[in-house]
Amino acid sequence: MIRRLLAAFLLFGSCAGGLFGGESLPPAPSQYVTDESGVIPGALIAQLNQRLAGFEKQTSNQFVVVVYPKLPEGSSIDDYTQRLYSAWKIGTKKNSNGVLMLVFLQDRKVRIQPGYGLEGALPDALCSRIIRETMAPAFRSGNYGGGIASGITAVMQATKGEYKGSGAKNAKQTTLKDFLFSPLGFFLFVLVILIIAGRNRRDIGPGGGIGPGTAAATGFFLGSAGGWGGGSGGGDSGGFSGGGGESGGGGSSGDW
Amino acid sequence: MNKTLLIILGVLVLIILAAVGSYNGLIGSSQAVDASWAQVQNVYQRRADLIPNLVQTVQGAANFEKSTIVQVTEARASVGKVNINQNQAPADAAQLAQYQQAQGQLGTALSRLLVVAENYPDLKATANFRDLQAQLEGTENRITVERGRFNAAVQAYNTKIKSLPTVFFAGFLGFQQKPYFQSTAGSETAPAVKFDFGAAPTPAK
Repeated sequence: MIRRLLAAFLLFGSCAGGLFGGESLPPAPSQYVTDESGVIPGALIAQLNQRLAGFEKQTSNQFVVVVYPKLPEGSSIDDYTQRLYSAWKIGTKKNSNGVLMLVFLQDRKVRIQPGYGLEGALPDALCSRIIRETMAPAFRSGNYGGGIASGITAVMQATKGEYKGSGAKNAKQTTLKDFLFSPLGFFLFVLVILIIAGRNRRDIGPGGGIGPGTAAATGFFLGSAGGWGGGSGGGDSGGFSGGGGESGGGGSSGDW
Repeated sequence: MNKTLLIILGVLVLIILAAVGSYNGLIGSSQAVDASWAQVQNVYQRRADLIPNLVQTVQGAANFEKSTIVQVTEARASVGKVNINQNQAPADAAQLAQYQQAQGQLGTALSRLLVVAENYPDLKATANFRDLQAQLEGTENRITVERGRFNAAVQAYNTKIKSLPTVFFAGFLGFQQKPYFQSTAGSETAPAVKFDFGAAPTPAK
């Protein structure tokens, strides 16, 4: 009986993973600066990534830049940026201190959008000015790498004094609630119930320990826990990993 | 001991537990709705706060069309006349609709003013006007975002009210459905006019 229940929950879990997919937005980038259209020299991208990784360590601000060839059909840049920001969760959960800069080459559109926590340091008028006076002129002359680099510098300049970093990158914080509502947390919860139920039944081994079925299941879940934690760690190596920040739609869009 | 009595007691305890659980859940999502309503109020207020500066800036431009300025100030005044609780989401759909209409008129008046401003190159070139323009655009986008979050919170609350076992207790505990912001037809597509703020969007192209 217990084993059958476990099997049912396992099945449910593997299905649930597919159900929580939702809208098909591009996945969060693994680097701070990503060029999907191949107009920025690789060496410059590497250099900018290093700067922004250092920026996160120093200020805890997360600043993500992506250059796309074009906007999806029927999307407006304001709305699309907002949805990407919400999906990628830039900035810490506590401060929402992120910035998202998106460039759409064929549409000739660019947007700078801060999270809630950087609206003060990066007001709409400033975003607009950075686009108009720094980025757009460079873009107009075809210097995309230079325009993006100087736009990044201007945004870093404006936001560097707002928060203080820990010297290491932010690790994604998992609250108890997040954990309980994650598939793994749910399985463990069910498992605990089943173990308790099992104690009152025949699945108690000779020494009073739990029976082989439950023990095997416990091992399985604990084993999968190790793999599950991997993606969320901050660490010092590697690139960007969203910290749980949100944006309220501030910032500015412009064209060139 | 009477077995029937025990069963009745057990069922009663179960019902009370379910009612308490429902109540706590509803309070939680009702507060989430109020919190997102306060955010909506914030961003609308932000827009209203920009208006005096905007009016002053465009008045400085030589012979700026007066009627558009009057429309903006009148629309702003009529928003103030709608009596709405700032901290608690409205329970009455008609009241929310009236409020939304007043804010929509203000959005239309503002967008008209900015379209008219396109005809004044000297005004458009000033840094002050460009900054204001960026702030207004940003605020309109914030309004869209916060209204969307409000509607999502209301939807979560309304769904909770209707789902089991809460549906048995919601009415008894005094929880009612809450109204949404109505989306204006075609608002999902980007408006053709750059400064089409809020209500009465023109279809793209």
